[in-house]
Amino acid sequence: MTIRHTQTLRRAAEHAAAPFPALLAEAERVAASVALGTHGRRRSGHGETFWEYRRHRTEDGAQAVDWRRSARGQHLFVRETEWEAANAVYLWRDGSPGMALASKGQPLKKDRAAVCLMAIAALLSRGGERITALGETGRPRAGRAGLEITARALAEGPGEARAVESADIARHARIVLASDFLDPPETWTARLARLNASGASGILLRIIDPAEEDFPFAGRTRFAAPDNAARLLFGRAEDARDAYRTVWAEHGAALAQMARQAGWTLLTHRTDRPAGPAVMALHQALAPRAMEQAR
Amino acid sequence: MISLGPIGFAAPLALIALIALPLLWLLLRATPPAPRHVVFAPLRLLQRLAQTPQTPQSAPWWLIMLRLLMAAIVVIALAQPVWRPDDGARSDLPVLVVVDNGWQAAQGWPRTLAQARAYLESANAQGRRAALALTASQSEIVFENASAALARLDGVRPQSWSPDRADLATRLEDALSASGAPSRFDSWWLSDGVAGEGDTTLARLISQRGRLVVSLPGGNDGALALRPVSAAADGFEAEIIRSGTSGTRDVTVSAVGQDGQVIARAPARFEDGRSTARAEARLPLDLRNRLASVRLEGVSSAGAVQLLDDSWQRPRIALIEPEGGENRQPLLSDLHYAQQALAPYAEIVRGPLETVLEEEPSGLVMVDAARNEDPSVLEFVERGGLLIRFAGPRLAAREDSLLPVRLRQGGRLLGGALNWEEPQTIAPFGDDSPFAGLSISGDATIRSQVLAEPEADLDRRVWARLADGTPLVTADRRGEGWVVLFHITAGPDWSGLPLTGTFPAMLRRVLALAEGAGTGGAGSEGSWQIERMLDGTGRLRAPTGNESAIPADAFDETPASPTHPPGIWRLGAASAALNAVRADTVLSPMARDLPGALYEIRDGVREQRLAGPLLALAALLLALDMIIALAFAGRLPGLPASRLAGLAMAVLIGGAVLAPAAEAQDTDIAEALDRALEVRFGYVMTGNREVDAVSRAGLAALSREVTARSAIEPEEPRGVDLDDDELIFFPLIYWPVTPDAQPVSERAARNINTYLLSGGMIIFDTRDGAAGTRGGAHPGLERVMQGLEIPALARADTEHVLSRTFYLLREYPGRIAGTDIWVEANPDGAARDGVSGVIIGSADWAGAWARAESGNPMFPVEGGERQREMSYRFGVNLAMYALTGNYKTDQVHVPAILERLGQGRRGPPQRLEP
Repeated sequence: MTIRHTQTLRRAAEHAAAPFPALLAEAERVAASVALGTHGRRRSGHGETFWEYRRHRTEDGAQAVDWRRSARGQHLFVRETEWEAANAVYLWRDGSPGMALASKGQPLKKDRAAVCLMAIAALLSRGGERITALGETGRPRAGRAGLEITARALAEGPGEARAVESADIARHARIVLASDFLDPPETWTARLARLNASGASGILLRIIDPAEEDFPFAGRTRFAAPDNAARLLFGRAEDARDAYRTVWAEHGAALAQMARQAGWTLLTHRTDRPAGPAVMALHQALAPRAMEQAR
Repeated sequence: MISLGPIGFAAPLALIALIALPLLWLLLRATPPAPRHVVFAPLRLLQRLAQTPQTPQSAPWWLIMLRLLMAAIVVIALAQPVWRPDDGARSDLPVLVVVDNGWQAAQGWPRTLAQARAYLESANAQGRRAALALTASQSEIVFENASAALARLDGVRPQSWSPDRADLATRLEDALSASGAPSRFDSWWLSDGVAGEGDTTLARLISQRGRLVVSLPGGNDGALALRPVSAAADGFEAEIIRSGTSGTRDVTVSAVGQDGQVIARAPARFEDGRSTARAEARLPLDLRNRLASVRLEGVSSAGAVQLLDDSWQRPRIALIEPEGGENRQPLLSDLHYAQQALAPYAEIVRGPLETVLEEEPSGLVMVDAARNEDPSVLEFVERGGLLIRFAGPRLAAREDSLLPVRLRQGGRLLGGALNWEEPQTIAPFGDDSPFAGLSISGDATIRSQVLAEPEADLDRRVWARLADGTPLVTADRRGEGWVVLFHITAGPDWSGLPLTGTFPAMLRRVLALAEGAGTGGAGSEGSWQIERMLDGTGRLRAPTGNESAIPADAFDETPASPTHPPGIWRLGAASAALNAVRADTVLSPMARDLPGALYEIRDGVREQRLAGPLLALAALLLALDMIIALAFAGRLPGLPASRLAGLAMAVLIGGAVLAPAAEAQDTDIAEALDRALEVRFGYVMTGNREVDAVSRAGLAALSREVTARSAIEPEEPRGVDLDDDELIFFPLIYWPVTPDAQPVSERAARNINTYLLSGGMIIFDTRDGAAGTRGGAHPGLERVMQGLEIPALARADTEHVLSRTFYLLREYPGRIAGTDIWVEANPDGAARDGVSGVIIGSADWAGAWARAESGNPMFPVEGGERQREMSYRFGVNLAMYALTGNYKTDQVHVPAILERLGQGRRGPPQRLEP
């Protein structure tokens, strides 16, 4: 039994892990394209990268003198490194059943969310930030290992809403939440209020499947909820299109309103668009925040 | 069974089910198609919407119609419809189907078989017993279950002999007298339309027991037969007969050799109202001798084949050489003239008597010098051989026993110095002579002859006479053979005849006696055994084993029959053909007044059962309905909108492509003019954008350099598509070969080979500085070269013309220096006047030449700017080489070049410039 069982488990595990390398590769690719042109903090500070040599001042200790440089000239020089602040970033990818849907030819919303988060995780990790998957991988970690653990959780983790509701986070942490945000805005207002209470702030990455926005259905159609809890039969789905789009727009407006009030940034991403711009926007939305905090 | 027009129904009650169709209509209208199922995440948003009306969208009217149609088809199929039912077949008497399966029926056999099957199937459907009777096969006649008769019908083939209806009548009578045989039955006689013996007997026997319908073949299925072909002087003649006489009909006779090859064809035409046609084919004798059979094209019947046997082969004629040889000039020798005259028509054997007799010739030629009274000669003649003798001084001196006539002592001399008589000419041949009809040359004058003793029956033996009536050629039978005597010599000593064309013609007629020896030569003892038999469709195949031997003396009288089928028969070494059709065979149409018979023509229409096709159609509709249902449920990918759109797009694009075709032609001409009027270099577009850009930039830079330095002023280079572009406009084509290059297409290879043959030049550049000289073959180059006709190559040394067409160069550097280049090893043989059409190197010349828009070099060069300059010089040399060819190999320039080379050796390398 054991061998057979092990084999079964292993096959299932391999099957489950199969999308992970692909997602990771895509995330790396996206991250690489975004990383070009970004840089560190562009000011001297604590860090490892060389920034500049400056003249030795009296307040600097003798141990600060860079003797190698100073020996080449008449003056004493101090070697300054670039300031590199490490911050904790919490990433959360919604794992509700609705996220495991996709129109034909598009990636699953879950996968696209994971790709975006993994890419931003890779970028942050490169910048020395500490990252973690919210509610799944414990304390934020830096470096390659942190990225590896976080990426795996983002790709395969359960992504439960409970992780957001009872988040155990450091103060003033930054948070990225990727979801389809189809729960009522009121729910999210409550969740964000809790997070804000701990001084955190962050970004909402809203993942939209094109079918959800365009409602391309026609004819006799039966709609079912992802968890199969409810069903709805339309005799002529095309008749409901305009009304649906209005409702959808209202929902979007309510979400934007909610985010604005909570002081979070709302980014919207459709799965039929490339992931790169979304990651770029994420990256930029995170960066000024960092500068602000540093000041 | 009820009938509606041409359709009858075997189970009409099933049609009542059609009443249910309106019910089905209501049912189908009430049932909507299954909804499409969509898992939709924002269902909560959707729930907020006011519900759209739930009224089920009913199935579209056309789908309902389709389904109703399907149901109707099934109902109708269950009613067992029959197309053009045979109303006459309503009795329940047993059925007798008589089928003529002789060779006469072979032509229309598929239709005959189909008709017989239709009758039996109908009997089977009605549960009637049936019997199958065959006129050309000795099959049993039993009234049995019709399905058993159907099974037996499958095994029936047309036979290669004529039907024997009298025999069938006998067999049928026996069968009917047996116990269990029905006293009355309905009969169909599927006749081949040819009258035969016993027709009346058979018809009377059958019609006494019930209805008889005689089915005659349709217009084009009438029997055709080829009578035995006769050899004509210069080919053969064939007579074709047919059973009807109405309408003109063209047929072709083809003569087939032993290897199955058609050697000759001859057309023939039946005129309206005639039942015979003639075909003549002209054929040289040696070809005629190779014939194995003569056939009617497009007619697969044993009657349309005439097998040819030994009598068509060349006779073997032996020339007896005199003992001790002839002491004469070859051109004056009698034997020489005899041999020359006989050679076109016979296989010649020469040698002493004993030797040639072992070769079993069918004829012996005995000139005067070879006179031999050996008893074996007499024996040979008496066994059926042909002896051709020529007179001469020895025969004139003494006659012997082997002569057709008695001779007078001493010859007769005509003309000459001491003679008053003029040389005699030959009298026209008599009508009863074998030579009848031959024209006599005026040069054939006779100066001497031996004279026959006048005898009572001399006239009978004379075949040719002189103008004064004296015999020239006499012949007589001796035993079974012939002795033929020419009263002159075989050479020109006594007459001018051997020098004229009349002589071989006469000998050829004589040879006909020997030709007959083929069959007759086998003698009258023993019996013929079959070797290969002809089947009913006219193909030779192995005998079945039911055949019996034919006594040798009865062969000619034996007709084709089941025990003696047509085919090739063998007796010892001799072979003979027994053919289905004999010279006296006639095909007279079947009598239309057979007792008690009704007649019908097989016109191909017969009753057809429609249930099968209808059910198949219903199944197809069902499949279509399922596809439509799937489409409605959204389970079909891309149907119908996107698929239809794609189709429409395809149609639109097709129209768009067709429309501007005319304009395209104009641009083609302008393009061709442009290419033809300007010199420009070409480069092969590899599909690799980077490589192509380098090629283009390189050639463009080279073009500028060439313009600046020489009288060649090329235009901008152009990329070449090897598949479609006309290459001939380019003096040289640069071909960068990447390691992953794919083989060129067949079309491209043809294009390139034509280009090279017509004087083009291609520079292959592997751009890696290594391949071609070390490390094995360049993989890309190897693949590219596969389809091309590249001649043997050799390394170009410093003496090659390329090194001095413009600049004097010692090496041919590109971006990489020190690489070898390879050119055709021996270009002198080609039509290019010593110019190599292929130059293969690896120095990446284009890379060295290439300059960006700004004029700066695009790539660094190994040896710096000096080497870049050298590579430009090589480029200029290349262009010169492509355009001026071997001009600089001209010896005129050798002293100057030598002098300059000498200076170069002493001075610095810069001095090599012109």
